[in-house]
Amino acid sequence: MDYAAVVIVEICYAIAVLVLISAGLAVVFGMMRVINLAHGEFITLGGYAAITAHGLGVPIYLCILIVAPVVVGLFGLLVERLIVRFLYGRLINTMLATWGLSLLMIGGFTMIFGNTTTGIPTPIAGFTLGRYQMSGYNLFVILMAVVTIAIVYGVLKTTRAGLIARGAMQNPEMANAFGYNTSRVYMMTFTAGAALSGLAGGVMAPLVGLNPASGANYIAKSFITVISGGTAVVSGMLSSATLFGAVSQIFTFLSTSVIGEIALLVAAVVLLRLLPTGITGRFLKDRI
Amino acid sequence: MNLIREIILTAFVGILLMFLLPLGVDVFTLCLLSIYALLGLSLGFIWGFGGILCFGQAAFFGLGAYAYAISAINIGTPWGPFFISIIVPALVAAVFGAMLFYGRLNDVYLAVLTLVFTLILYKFMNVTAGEEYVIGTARLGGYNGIPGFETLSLPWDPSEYLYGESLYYFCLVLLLACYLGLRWVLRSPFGRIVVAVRENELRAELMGYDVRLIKTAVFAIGGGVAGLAGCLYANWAEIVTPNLFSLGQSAEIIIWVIVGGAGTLAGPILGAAGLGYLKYLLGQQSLIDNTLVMGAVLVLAVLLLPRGIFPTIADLFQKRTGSRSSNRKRSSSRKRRARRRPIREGGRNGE
Amino acid sequence: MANNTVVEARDLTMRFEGVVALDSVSLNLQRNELRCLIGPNGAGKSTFFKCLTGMQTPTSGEIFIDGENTTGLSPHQVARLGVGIKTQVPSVMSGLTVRENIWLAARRTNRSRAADRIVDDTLQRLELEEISRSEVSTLAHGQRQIVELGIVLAGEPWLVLLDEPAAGLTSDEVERMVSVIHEINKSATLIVVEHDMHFIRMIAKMVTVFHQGRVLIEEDAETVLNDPVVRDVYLGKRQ
Repeated sequence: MDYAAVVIVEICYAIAVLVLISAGLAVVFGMMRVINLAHGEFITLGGYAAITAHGLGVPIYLCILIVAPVVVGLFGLLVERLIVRFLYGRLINTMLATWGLSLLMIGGFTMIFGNTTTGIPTPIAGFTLGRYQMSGYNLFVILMAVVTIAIVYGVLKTTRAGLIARGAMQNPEMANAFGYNTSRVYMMTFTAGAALSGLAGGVMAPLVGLNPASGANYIAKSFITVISGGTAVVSGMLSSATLFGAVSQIFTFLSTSVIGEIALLVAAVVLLRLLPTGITGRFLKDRI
Repeated sequence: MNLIREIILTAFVGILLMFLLPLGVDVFTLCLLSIYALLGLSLGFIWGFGGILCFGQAAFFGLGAYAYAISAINIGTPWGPFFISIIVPALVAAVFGAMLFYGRLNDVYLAVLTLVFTLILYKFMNVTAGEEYVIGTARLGGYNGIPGFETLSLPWDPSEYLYGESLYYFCLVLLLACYLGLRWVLRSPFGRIVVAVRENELRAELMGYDVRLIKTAVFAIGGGVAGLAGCLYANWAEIVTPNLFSLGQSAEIIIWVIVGGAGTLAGPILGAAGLGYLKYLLGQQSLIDNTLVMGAVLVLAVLLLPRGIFPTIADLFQKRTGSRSSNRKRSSSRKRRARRRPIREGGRNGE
Repeated sequence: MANNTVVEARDLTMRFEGVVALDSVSLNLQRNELRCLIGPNGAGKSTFFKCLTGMQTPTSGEIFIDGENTTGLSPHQVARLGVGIKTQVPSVMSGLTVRENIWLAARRTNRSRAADRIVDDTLQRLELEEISRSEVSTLAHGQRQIVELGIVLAGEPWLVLLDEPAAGLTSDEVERMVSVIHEINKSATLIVVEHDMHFIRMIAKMVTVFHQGRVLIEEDAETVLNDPVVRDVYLGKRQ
């Protein structure tokens, strides 16, 4: 009984991590058809921001929930203005340029923070469930994933800004004709996506040792979660995160965590081969 | 006629370089640069001419290196493994490519899956440290890699190993041979069909060509050439490690091709050798991080030089000298101009 | 009848997400016939065309070309039966020259030298010799339509499928297209999907009218063009 609870929590946690690290990329890809290959480094930047702020004496929840997303959001704004905005509509070129940006950031982290692993302590103590030791922070991660999904869905579905954004993405010329500045909408969307990546970086910071190349751990997983989900931001990301999270966690239980990750990657290859437009491209059209 | 002239010219320039370069740079570095050039050439072929943007060319490079190391340990002599290291990556590329192209995956999905493929190999090779991961008598060794395998030697005198200067000449000759071989392929009817597929898949198909098969074949050729580069790398480094499969390695190959210019064969070779040398020079100092520079080069190349350095310079040069002498030159320069956008975007944008 | 039927569609139905684009369409074509498929936008003629060429697979129903079941084959397999296909938007290799484009079509069934000969013939037949070394991307739309026709002819097809060959042509070019089509018809069976009534008047013998995914009427050109129902269908949508 306890064991079943542990397994379920662990699977939920795996799904939550995928949701968190994919949300920023999903917003940017789903809304703008831009793939940001520096996404992993955006998350890493969030982690470094949180760690640095914590080192300066800022309370930990402030570091995670405010500092990390704000810093990365601002950085995203800069990137959009300097690089991405010249490449809209050219999917492959955007991928290449942001891959360059990713290398650039890795180099930058190495020069600033050194080629070492750093981290911050977990702010929530563990507890025991029957015979099993559970991490309290994992529950916090699950909560944050739910909150993230709720925010993205809420903003897109119910606010005026969300409506304008959806309209501008569907038909940029029409939105222009209505008097909305699509260039600004794109800018804001990219910034929001970056801030979500920063949040993920902050939330993940106490869990993983951070080093300049950490981004590589995130990019592939978030990348395939988003691509496999298709262009529907929320439902696509949720369905593929659920699938891949469950697959990787089950294989982790059966074997090791690396085999779990490999299983996730293999599942993605098979899925994309069968559904080349992603899950929502096939089954859940016209959703957000 | 033209082909023969081109072969003679290329061989002449190649041989000249072969003997001139060691005067300025040590042969150990030159050897690595020519291996990089071969690797760049492999991606330049499948991307620039086949229109297949592979984000994981490092996979076939690494497979070639591992195939060589593993089979050299098992067999004990170097020349069998030499051919195995070309055939294995080519076969893997053929199977993986068939899966992709028969599924009609394109653009971004192709990019994701090739990237993920490399990552699977990278992760897998990193966890093979245990005793149980053995192929024949070769232990895979996890992140420590595989050292201590038999390296290439003269077929008629196994005690005469190829290293230093002789390995460099060997690499450069193979590079020249692959370059000329691919030129020849591109001039053959098959090569023209390959370019046709890049230009317009639907039309090629309506003409009755099996696009899926052609792309798979191109991918396999590229995989084989990358595998050969991996084999040479294994002989140069005398060790193979999972880092051959890393994302950074894949990125570098793409950077070489972009900077050198997709759509030519010489461009990726020069891009690989030039940037490889730049990286070597940067490695001599510790002020600026190497990765940072490579990243900056890629960003700037995409933004400012969408066609690559080599074609840009070639066009400038032609404009200045007002080259109108031969018909062939004129049409080829026009062709290059028209290719400007489509190549980078992997051929077609939408349907 | 059975022996001379070269194209047969049986109850083709095509549904996209609840929209029925084709509703059990059946059609027979005799050897050396010239058949026009007409109809207003969204009548299903383009979908029918795509099913014939293998670019789409019908939801149900079967297609036979020269007695062979081609339902679900891919375009290159259909093409290899000796079918020449011209798409609605000119589908050419823009980065290659006119000559290279046509050569590629001829080379599939011939060795290089024979292909060269066919290319010369085709260039001459379509009066493309002057621009044979030009890159297709530099040509005007009308010229590109002719080049695509050259690609189709160089494959020496016995069955030719043309989707809106007159679209975007000047009236001079239309006349040239008409004579080319008549010439192709001397050696091949033709299906032409067309929008332009004027053009149809110039080429058509038998006309099949599509309307709302069904065949409305199938008669000789004169009867169809004077049919009041057809006029209603057409003019109602077009004016």
